[in-house]
Amino acid sequence: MSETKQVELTSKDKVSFKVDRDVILMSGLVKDMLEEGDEDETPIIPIPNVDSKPLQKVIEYCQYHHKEPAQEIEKPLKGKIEDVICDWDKKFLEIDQSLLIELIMAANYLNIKDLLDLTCAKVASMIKGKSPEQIREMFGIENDFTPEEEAKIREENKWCEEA
Amino acid sequence: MSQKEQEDNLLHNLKDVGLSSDQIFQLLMEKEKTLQKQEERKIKELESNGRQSTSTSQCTNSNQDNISRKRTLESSPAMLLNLIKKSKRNGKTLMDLCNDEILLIFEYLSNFDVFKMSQLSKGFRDLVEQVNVLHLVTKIRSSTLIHFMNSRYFYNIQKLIIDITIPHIIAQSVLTYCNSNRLKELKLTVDDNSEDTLSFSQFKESSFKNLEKLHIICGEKYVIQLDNIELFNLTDLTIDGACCPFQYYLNKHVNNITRLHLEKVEHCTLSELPLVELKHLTIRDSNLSITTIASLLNNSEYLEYVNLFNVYGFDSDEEDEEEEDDSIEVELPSLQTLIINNVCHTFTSLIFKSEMPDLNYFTIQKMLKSDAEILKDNASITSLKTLKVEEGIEEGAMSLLVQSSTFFNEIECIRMEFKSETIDPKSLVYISSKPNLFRNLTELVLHTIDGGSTMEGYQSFFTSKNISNIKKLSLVCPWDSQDLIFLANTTVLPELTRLTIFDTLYYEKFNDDFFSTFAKNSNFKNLEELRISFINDDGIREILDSRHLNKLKKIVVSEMVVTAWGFKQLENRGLEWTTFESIKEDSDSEEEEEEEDDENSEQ
Repeated sequence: MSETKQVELTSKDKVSFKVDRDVILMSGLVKDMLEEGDEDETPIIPIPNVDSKPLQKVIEYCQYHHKEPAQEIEKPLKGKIEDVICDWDKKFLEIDQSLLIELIMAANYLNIKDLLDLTCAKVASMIKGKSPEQIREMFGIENDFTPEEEAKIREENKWCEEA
Repeated sequence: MSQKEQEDNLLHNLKDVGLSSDQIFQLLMEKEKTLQKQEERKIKELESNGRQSTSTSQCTNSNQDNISRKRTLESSPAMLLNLIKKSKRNGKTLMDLCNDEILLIFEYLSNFDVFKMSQLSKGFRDLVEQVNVLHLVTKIRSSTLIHFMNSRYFYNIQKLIIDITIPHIIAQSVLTYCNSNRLKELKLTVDDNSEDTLSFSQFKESSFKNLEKLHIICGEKYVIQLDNIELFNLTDLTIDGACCPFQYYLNKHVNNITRLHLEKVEHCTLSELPLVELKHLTIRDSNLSITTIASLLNNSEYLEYVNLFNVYGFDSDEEDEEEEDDSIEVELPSLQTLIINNVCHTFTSLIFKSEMPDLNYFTIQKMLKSDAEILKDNASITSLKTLKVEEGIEEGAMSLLVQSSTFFNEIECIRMEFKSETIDPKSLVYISSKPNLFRNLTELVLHTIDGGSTMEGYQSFFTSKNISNIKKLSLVCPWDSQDLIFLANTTVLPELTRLTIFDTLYYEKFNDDFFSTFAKNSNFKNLEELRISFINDDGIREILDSRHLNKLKKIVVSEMVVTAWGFKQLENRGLEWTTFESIKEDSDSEEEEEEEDDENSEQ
């Protein structure tokens, strides 16, 4: 029986992960890189934009979803994200906000569309129905409007509150 | 508040901000470390100020205890929550994402949630202004829509999709506000009862010149006027329900349309249509004249896809249909997909007579003998790969089709999966009768959902070389249980990966030798999925013990026949399994959903 071909990924903080080739082919970036390389060796692929913690989560995602393709998430979300994703994804998303943001960046960089959609939908679900003040507080966004500017934009957006 | 109560409150607050038990534990440890460091610093300060007694170590410990207690009391839940929130933000935040990533997040929000985000910061305001799609799916007041169209955000909108019903006056206002060359896609859903005219023609000729996709859903009495407006970039037009004749919206200004979808078009006669680029045509629930149909089909040499559903001549009553006119002919040189569902015979015979050398996918609701008679004589059909008959085949129709010298030459898939009609009992006979006719066949489904049909010709079918390339086979049961032995002994299906045999009435009557013979037959070495409605516990044991069925991954059985012991055996072997009953429930709920969707779209 032939051994499964592997690929070695090296994170920004120099941690190496060995992953089955067919698992990490979910990444468009890695797929493109592998197509250029030699098939016989275990290629070492540096991932200089992604730290080990999010990279480990990315691998975890690919290991599950390369055999169980993710379902498309409706746009816009009509309810909670938990209502439209599988149990495994719900558990996968039980992470802190910082790691969630790092996962979005990693999924975008590695070109893993389903993971990017999942993580972006999760953030959207956190934002949904909240007031601007609550969103600022939740994500630590600094309000850089002057009081006059803020009053003006609030007035301009008054109709949104009616929607 | 006691210290215990404070700690309890604190734990509740920590859970409320969404932290897991591990994270809470880590934060509490960090808090302990911080307090320890503060105490050490305080002690050092006290020592340096000479206020610390060095007389006994006991006293030092006592002071430390006092300070520690004091600190614990001073560290209120609010202080700690701030500390936690701060620590949560030490990593990456929303502001670290690039614009594309934030815009993708916006796609999962309703437009109004997105617009609200412009109030967060200047950066977000600028990003929100880049949003160029407005998709309305929930009811809003007309005044809100008008406010939106007056707002700065509307300036960038290129794709305006209104899936909620709006009154005519608002639809006309939308056109007025959209009158600016920016719009590429517009969908309007107008009140069913409106009898007004939606007029694009009142704007200057080039007002909508960049519009590529236009979709209007309206009532039967609504009129849409697109004449005198330049729509040279319009490639995709859907009109659902308007009463106006074609010339109101299919005119020389829209001659680049490649996709046309018409629904509920009534009593339309038109002999000259300019749609020379048309590739994709769908007509549903409509009454048309034969000249109109001929014109739509004939002017489009690039037509690749035709889907006709509930399409009649001027009167739905067959007796009043237009007389068949042999002088009208059409040519469909590029047609690849043809879907015909409940269409009057005049139209089907017109299409079936036409030249269709590229046709490779053909679906028909019911194959009549008269249809088969025409198709048999159409020698231009030489590329057909998939034939799907959805609800019945008239007796004798199949025997006519197999007489054609070309119709089945390239066929790879025949699917006749009926919900209520029974399969022609001679279907197997037709397929095995002519040598080499079905040499490319890889999928054959002759199946009624409710079972109960009988079929003939099992013996010759399961020895015919015509079926040697079949990978997926689905059959209803024979009435004579001995016939199944021909399947169990077959040597002509070495490629088979999925086998379904189904009959709700038959499970008590199958031949005892079937499964033992089947399991010993090396012909089934490539089988991956087995669906048999009458397999019982003994059958399961035979299958699981087979040395040939090594590739079997999934089995579908009936809970009416298999006992708990049988299910346990399947589980113990790690074989994926399900029941016909659960599949039927799934398909029933899917049908209900489809019906709901249809009702919603009608509403």
